[in-house]
Amino acid sequence: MNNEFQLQFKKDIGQFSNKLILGFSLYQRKTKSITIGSSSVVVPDVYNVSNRQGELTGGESNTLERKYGYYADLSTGYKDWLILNGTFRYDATSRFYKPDRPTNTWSYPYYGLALSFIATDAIPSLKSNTLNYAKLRINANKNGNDNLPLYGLDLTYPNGGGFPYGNIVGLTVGNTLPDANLTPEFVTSYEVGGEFQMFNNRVNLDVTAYTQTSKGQVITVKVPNTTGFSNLLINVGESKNWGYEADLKVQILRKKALKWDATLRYTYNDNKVVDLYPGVNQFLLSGFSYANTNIIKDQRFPMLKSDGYVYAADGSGRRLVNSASGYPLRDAGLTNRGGTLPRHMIGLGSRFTYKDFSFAFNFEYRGGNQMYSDLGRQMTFTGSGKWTENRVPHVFPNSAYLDGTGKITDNNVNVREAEYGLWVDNYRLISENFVNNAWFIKLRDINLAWNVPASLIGKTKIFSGASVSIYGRNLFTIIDKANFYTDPEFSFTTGNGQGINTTGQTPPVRQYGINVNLTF
Amino acid sequence: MKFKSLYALAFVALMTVGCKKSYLDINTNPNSLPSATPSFVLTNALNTTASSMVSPNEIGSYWSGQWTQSSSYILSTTTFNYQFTNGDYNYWDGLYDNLYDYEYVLKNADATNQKYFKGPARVMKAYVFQALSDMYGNLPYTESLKGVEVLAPKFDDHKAVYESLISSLDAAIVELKANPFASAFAGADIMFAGNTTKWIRFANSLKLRILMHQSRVAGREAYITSEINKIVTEGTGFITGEDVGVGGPSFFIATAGKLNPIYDRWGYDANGAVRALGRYPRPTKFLFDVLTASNDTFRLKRIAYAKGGENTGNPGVSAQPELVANYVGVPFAVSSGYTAPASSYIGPSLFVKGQFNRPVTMMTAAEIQFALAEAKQRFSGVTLAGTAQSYYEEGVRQSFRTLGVANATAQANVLLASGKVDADWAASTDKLKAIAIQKWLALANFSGLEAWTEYRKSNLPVTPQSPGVTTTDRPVRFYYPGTESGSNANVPAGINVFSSRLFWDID
Repeated sequence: MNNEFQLQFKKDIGQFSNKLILGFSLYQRKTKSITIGSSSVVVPDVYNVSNRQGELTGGESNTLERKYGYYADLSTGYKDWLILNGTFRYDATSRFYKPDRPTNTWSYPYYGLALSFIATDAIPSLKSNTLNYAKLRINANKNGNDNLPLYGLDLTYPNGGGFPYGNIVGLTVGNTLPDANLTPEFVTSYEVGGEFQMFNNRVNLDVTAYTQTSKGQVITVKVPNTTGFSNLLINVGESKNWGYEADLKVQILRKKALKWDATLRYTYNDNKVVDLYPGVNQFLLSGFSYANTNIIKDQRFPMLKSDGYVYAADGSGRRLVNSASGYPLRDAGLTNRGGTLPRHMIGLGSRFTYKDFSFAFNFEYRGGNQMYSDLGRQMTFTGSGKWTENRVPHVFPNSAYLDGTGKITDNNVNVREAEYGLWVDNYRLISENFVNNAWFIKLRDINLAWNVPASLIGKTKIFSGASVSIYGRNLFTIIDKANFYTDPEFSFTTGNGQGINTTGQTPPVRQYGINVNLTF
Repeated sequence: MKFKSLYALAFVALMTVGCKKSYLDINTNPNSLPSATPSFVLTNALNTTASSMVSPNEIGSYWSGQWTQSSSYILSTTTFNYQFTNGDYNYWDGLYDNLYDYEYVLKNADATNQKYFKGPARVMKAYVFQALSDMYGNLPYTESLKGVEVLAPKFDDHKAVYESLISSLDAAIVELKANPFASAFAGADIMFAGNTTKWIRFANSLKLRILMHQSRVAGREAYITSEINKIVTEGTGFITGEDVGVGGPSFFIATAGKLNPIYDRWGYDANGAVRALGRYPRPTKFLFDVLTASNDTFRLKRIAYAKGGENTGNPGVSAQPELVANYVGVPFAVSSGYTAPASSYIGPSLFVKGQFNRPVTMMTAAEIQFALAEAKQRFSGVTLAGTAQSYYEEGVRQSFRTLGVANATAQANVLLASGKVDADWAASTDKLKAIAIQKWLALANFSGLEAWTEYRKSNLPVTPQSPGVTTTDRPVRFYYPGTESGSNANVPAGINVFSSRLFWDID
């Protein structure tokens, strides 16, 4: 349920045109879900819970959330080329509400200011066939979010495993402890940008640079179980996010029958955790004990960490092995392997149109990030990974060992059991083997379409328009040559666990199809 | 303009309506209880401790040489060639989670005026900390279980933890004496049904277990002696004549997920179908050899089924004739030649088809008798009433009883007078060795972790090394799990699972 009440005022004063909106909004969302089920039916195709074997199972979940907010929005334009827009909003949310919590923990003001300047209108002499339109803009914004999980303030007391046992009830203390001082998140962002149309509007360029500071992002982190809890819900002290974007659109050909457009887009985005939590410099977010994502002060976020090889201290990059067994040593400590979010994104798209035919495609590149594939570990166990093919006695490549005196010595020891022990008990357990550069280039889609000419359509007297197209999606992906596993965009979970994939994800699919559009 | 002011008025009116705080006062989770009474938390915590100990006891049974695996499964090199890492044997996370539930009971029992739950919760906390420290050594104790107050608990010295557990158990006994159970809540106690005397005996027994683990550590004699004498003075005594277990017929039910967890794992499912995993664990040939060396076939036939396992049409009886020749133990850690049908299954003392509601054993009476025998044999200053021999012989009788041998006392007495070394007290020249061997036998099937602890402490019996291991290395502990070291900088570095011995493991 969403109620909006708005008042709009308009008044022009001299060269200034003013518009003020005052509003009040009310939001309520209620859900109810009840499940009942059983493990098997007795008579096939009769879907009724009374037609079952075993005990009836069931569950129920109800949610209710409410918000309200007041807002004001003032726009002032001077001669239509200098526009100032100011907004103010005051929100209150049930997600952070408890009768005994101070007002400022569940209600919060936020505001923004935007100024845009259309240079080609302000100074008409700038306008030419080369530069048709130029607009500069600058924004400053403070935004409040209540991105707390519903009922996240409460520690829960769920049923213990297996309970109830008949009439005997058993409860356990929930594993996620909410920090007592949780507050809404505030994001302060600054942005400068410009939009330019050039060469008779054939070239369109949009550039932006931005920086965002988030204070109090609400995330769930892992804490050692020795605290009595496995997870903690906290406000991240402060994180920064910055980058730039450029978007270039070019109409290469504009003939009557033949048209050719191209779009090139580049985005750079990076982030850093400035301040985490009092007294703590890092938290584990998600993943396995041997490879996981983390939030670490003064680092990119999420940061992939994994165990790995023990390297010779001489800087040669050689991996140390056990001098008796020849097996590589594993450093059980976790080392930073890099951020899991892409830093660079490039998109290239194009469209050709010839008479009633059109052809379009889109490429994308993303890179500058790392990934961990648990599939590699499984494929090493089963022996299906090509990297396990060397199963005759051999010296572990690029390796050395420390002799009795601690001297780094060239390794000439054959691994003890190359057919099994090396791979299953040693190589498999060194997660660094399955950490890869996560860049990719993808042909996201390709489309060939034919618009049925109006002259043909007219004859049917039923349809007013028709088009037929064949398309392919995700037709090919180029990935790092050491990435034997999967599409780097696949993760075992969304959110902060991104960058880790497991055998639980189905492989990416390639799609082909035909679209027929008829308009009546 | 008139209309505008009218709108403005309406707007202001709406705003005041919306402003009420009560509109937002709906943020109470309707899907989970906002609080829990200690009684419900204690019930679950006890059940969780019982089920959480199944796996540590399994590993302990392997590494004390009592159990191994059949060759119907590829040999687990992790367990049997000791190639484990900090990703294996993480019983830590689950048990600390379990400990917090006991901590919750301790913290909240006063508020609900259920003080009688505090003693049991404190005893169980000590039980779990004892088990954890015997797996991992130094661990967070004083700074643990404090939630957000201490996000990286420091690690306490194992010996200091042991001493704290003794005083904590003293405090528990005081609480148990002062606060008898309200009968309406006795049902929440799925261990002793609210019998505080039994709780105190269990607490004293646990103290004895903790004290006697240290019996070979130099300089501990005076401390152990005085602490044992305090137990004697306290007067309630130790568990006798019955074992301590969680659950039982009034608790477990024949529904998936609600069975005795050991029965469920290796025995049968809720519908009585055989669990495939029952083909995995096997009694070792070495265990059988120790038993047959003293003609101890009564216990042998309770510890194991003959090859081929249980006759599901005649529960509790082997499918093959129960002749000693049909009891085939598997040599420790061999990878071939002993498939499931060709070797002995874990026996009727642990599972019989249909007996899904047996209690899960937490401590046997026999273990305590052997600990008493050792105390009396080692330390002249202890004021225990019996003799080392009387405790030892009672331990053997209790072992026969717990295993379910028919005419247990009479059969045990036959063994005790057999003239066999390490069975008959008089015939055994090394009394401490006889105690260790009989204790090891009595712990089989029920207390694997204790068996491994006693093995590490006494190096008895001398069990065969895994054929896949070329050195004399045996694991003396687990690694701290990666989950802890990934989030707690205080985890000690440089742990070597073959040489970083626990303080009571002197050689």
